Amino acid sequence: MDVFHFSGLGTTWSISTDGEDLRTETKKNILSFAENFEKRFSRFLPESESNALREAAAGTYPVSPDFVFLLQRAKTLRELTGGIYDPGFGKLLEYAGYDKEYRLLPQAAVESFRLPRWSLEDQRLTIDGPIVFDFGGIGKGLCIDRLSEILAQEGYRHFLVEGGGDMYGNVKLDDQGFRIALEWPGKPDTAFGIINLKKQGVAVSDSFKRRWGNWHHIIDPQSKKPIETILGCTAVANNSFDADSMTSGLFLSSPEAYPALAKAFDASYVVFKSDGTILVSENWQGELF
Amino acid sequence: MAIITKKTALLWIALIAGALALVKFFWKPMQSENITANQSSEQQQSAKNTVRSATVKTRYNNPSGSDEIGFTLGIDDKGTITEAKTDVLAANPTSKMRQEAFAAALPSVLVGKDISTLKEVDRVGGSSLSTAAFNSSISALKAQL
Repeated sequence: MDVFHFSGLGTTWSISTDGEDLRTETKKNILSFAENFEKRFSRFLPESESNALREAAAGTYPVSPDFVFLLQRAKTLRELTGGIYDPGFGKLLEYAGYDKEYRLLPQAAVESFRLPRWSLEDQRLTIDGPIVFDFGGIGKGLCIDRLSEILAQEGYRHFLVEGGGDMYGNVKLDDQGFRIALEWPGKPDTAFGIINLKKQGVAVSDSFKRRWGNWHHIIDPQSKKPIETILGCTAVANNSFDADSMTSGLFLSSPEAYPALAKAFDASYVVFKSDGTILVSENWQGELF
Repeated sequence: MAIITKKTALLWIALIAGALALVKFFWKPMQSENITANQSSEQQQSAKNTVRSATVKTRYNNPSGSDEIGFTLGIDDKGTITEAKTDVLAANPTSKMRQEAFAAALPSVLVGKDISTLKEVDRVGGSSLSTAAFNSSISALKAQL
């Protein structure tokens, strides 16, 4: 298998191809798409759409079709998690220290943070004041799917697109799925299972990474505290966007919401709770150790 | 159930432990249990090779009354569990939601394996690689201290 590595969206990416070499032209297209995606959506980049309303007054604003696409999914997640998932919490992450300079020093402003309100209607975004968006893992999931579409359009079939440990696997040369070992949350040397990824996306999320002080990057914007009830979770769905939506939903809701989430994103999942319990969805396919 | 391996014994234990935990955690147990077992009943023969199944119904107290929940286990001719199912029987919405959540995701026992010992793996899915930028800033931050 041939592997093409690159960096983007603050993480490392790889594209594995089975029996097909990536043409130079394709690599260029991949790199420019990923770079452009980051410019358009990263909270850390000043010219991005996520930052466009940082100083904006209350009102209704036009947004790009891709941004609408992200906001629509965010709206679904916001409903399914009872408001705990909300991409309008970008400034809270900054106040907590997770800003573009990675200062990692929580500021007093955390206490006074109030979650801005936003709504979407007819492809237009209405806000009640300045807002900074951070979509979390679903942005990366969308980028993985878009890169997979580029590969398919350019005639590739036997590929696996991976972005920071999340991935979409199409199909291998022998028509089998890609065999993916799944990392145990917080134990990079240990796998909890193996899945066969065929025309599916898998997302893996945990709260061990990106920790500073009492904080990590998965935060309840209402209590202004990091989520500590789950150590990590993994979800498999028909694409990466849905798989990443599922892990975000799992992290930011209680087990009572899991069935509705799994239905919305047609996903299976494994959740490692902080109390040591491991929950495996009844539709999970694959080996577990 | 999708998990049909030799680890099913553990799953069995996990299921019972989970059921007990559910009952113990949310409510205190109350009445007796009715256990019914049926030999190769027709509706059980679908899809999986279930040759025997057993169903348990139990009742427990909750803060607003009492609820019933059922558990069904099926085994094949080798004694491997082919099915482990929670039967949602609660009527009130809160209890129903909790029972449905329990049915959708069963508490399981996993021990993990050393990744280096796994054969024929194409890639590892996990978040340990996802944080290049963050980790490099942590190092930079530490260097300043």
